[in-house]
Amino acid sequence: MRDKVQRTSIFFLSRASDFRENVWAPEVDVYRRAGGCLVKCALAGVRPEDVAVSLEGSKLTICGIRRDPMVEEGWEHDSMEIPYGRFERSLTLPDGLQGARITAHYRDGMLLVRVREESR
Amino acid sequence: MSEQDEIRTVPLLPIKNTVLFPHLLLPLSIGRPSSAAAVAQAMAGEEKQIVIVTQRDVSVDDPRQKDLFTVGTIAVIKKMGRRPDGVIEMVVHGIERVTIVKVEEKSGALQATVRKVPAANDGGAEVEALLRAVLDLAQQAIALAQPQATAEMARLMLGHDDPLKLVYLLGSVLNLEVEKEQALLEASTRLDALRLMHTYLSHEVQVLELRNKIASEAETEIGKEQREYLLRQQMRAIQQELGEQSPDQAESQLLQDRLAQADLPDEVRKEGERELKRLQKLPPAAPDYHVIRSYLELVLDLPWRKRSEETIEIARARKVLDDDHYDLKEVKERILEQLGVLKMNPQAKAPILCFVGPPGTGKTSLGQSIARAMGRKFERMSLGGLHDEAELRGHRRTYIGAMPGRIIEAIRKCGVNNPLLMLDEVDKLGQDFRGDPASALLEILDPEQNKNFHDNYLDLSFDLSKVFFITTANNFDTIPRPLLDRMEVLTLSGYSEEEKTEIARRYLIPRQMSESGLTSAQFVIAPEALRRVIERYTREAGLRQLERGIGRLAHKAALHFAEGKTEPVAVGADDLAEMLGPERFFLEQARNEMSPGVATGLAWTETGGDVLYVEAALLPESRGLTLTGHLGEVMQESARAAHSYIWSHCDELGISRSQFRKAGVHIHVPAGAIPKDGPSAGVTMASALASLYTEHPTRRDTAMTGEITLTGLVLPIGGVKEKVLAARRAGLRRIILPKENQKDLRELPDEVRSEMEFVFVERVKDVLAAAIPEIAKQFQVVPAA
Repeated sequence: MRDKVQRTSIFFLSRASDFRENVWAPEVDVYRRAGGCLVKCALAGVRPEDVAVSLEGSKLTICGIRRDPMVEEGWEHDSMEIPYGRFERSLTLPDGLQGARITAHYRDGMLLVRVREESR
Repeated sequence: MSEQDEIRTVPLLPIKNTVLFPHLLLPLSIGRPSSAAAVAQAMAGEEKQIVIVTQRDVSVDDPRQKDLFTVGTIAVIKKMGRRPDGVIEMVVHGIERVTIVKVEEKSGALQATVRKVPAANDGGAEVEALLRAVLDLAQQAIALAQPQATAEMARLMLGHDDPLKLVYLLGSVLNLEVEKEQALLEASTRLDALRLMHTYLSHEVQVLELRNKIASEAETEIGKEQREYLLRQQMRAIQQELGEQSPDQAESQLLQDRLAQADLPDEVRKEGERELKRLQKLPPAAPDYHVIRSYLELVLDLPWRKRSEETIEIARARKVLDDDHYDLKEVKERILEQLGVLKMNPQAKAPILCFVGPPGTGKTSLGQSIARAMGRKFERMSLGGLHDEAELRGHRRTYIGAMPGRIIEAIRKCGVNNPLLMLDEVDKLGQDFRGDPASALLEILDPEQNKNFHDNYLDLSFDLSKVFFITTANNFDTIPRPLLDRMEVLTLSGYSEEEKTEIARRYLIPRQMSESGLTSAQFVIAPEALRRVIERYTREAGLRQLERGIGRLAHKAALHFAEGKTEPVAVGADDLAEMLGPERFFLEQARNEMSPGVATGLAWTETGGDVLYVEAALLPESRGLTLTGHLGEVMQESARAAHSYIWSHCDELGISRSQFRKAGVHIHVPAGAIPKDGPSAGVTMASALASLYTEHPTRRDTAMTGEITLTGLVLPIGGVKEKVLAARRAGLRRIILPKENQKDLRELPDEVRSEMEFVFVERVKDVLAAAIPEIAKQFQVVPAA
């Protein structure tokens, strides 16, 4: 009974996003300036080949997988807070950036996605 | 298709008490080493997957495959950590349902071979309908369980594309038993899952409703009044809905109906309607509500116009009166006269009669039989000791607990406006600083005023003129004069022994016998015995002691039969000592020897008449007149008058002046403890003194009564009948009476009149001549017999 009550309350604390399929969403910052924007995504520990960035219309999607290879054989987790497994993050770009050109590169564990307006 | 058949091997974590549903998060605490090992293996895996299965039996610590349900959930460990005591805490995220194919042990942990359960994808109208029903119920349940979370939950529930997700969500929220949760998990189609959920939810809603009810009952125990109020409000609403009326409305409606139907004078109706309007505006809890209600009830109860139909038949009335009461000719005749008047003129004002007489002479019962003879309702009240006029006339309604007066109450009790109202003990009205009810009675008993009798409570005038008032008293003297003036006095004097015998024979003995359950074959009182009871066991003008005595005889007889004896009881004169005890009174026999200075007088008392002796003695070498024997002022004065009269006629009477000049005189009237007053002992005093000074005794068979004047006239007195009867009881057969009292002898029964010798006198000289034989010789006058 007690167990159930507790569970109920935890349920109400949890977010609706937890209902989605087993994917996690990395945090992003978006920077803006005339003629383009920069999306910074916290994706430390993800191998570049495991990340895919796509743009459909004004919707930018970053997805991929963070694997958890053991640092060395013989160690086991004492705790785990970093989300592993498949991740996905979509965001809608500001108006006027449809069909823009995007480039992505890693720096210091951050994935930087640049979105530039098509020069006329 | 290959995905559906996919078989994997995953670390297995058995859990207790709960079930993990797909799509949901579940925090877990892991203490068992085998479980910890399974978690470690899962964490080491790339996807951190673990299969979570619920144990069938909570008590099993080291579960095997048979101890586990066969359907579990593949989960991903989202977060984990260890508490200092080594217990692992983690949050798992359910992914999908799997069937456990095989369980085996691998390096200290359980490992399961699992197969994915095919996803349910049935649909159609039935699923849709059930889904909606479940949503409805769920909303109810949530509203009952966590009202504050309703909006949030509604958003969550409606945001799902798959009914199964809703079922799982609800399954995790509801407090279901493990078996039920597992059944939900195992449901293979959406329809099944929804059906199960519908059942659970219905139950849950019922339980929650009950719980809420209990909780709210417990809560409102404190605010019971408030709750009652709410309930009343609800009841009123319901009653309104049903077209019924609340009790207080019904009450005022009832009063309204009665008011509409009642036969009321206009003025009264107006007042009643005004009060009713006030009542309808008040809430029942208001203190005034009940005041107005009782007032309205009184107004409606009063017989403003209702009267009992009088059917005056003189012959029948005469029979009723004769049946109920022996003799009392004068009173009966007066009543029949009044009935005759009422028959000729129904509008005639009823007289106000006052019965005056000793206790037990039948005043009250006479009133009852008059009511019966006239066909009127009878109501009596005692005014004895009444000292507050508000008792008669009521209190104004402004006072708390105000009530109508006794008169209005009595009328209400009768239900007609022409009852016979008997006011007992009108001579015992209190009259002091606390109030003067006699003055209030003046209004009530005055036929000119009581047409508009005003009761303070009623505050409307009520017509008392149709009421037949009869008052009773033992004594005129204490009746306030103005009151006496309004009434017609009828005297019921005491009964003679013959009358008593007759009344006992006709009324008292049959009544006592029927009260004791005796028949005339069982119980007989011999005439001699009855006579002795009257003479030796009672001393009264009325009949109460006599009735008690007869009652005792009857009770003894009843006991005799109750004990099983059968022979009839015949009470003889000799049995009385045994049945009633020793004789209580001795006949006051005339004194055998009368020395000079003693004379026999007669007195009237409230309980009848009495014989009293006046004794006079000479006090040589003394002066003046000494009076003793608890004499009142009037009696003392009449003693002085007698003394002066005798001295002023001493030569005529042959009294030697020198002999008595130097002697005082003492007059004593036994019994000394009983107060005596009144002028009627004047002749007795004069006779005693004359006898003393002439040294000739008075006749011992002679009693006398009468007032004297200084010039020697004898004035009439009252209470002749009682006095004569008392003299007769004492064995005296010769009575000296004032001439003017000759007419009163009519009151006496014939046998008494014929037995006695009466001497009627006009002057004191005649008295002395009749009382003292020697003086008669001296006067050489033969007194007129």
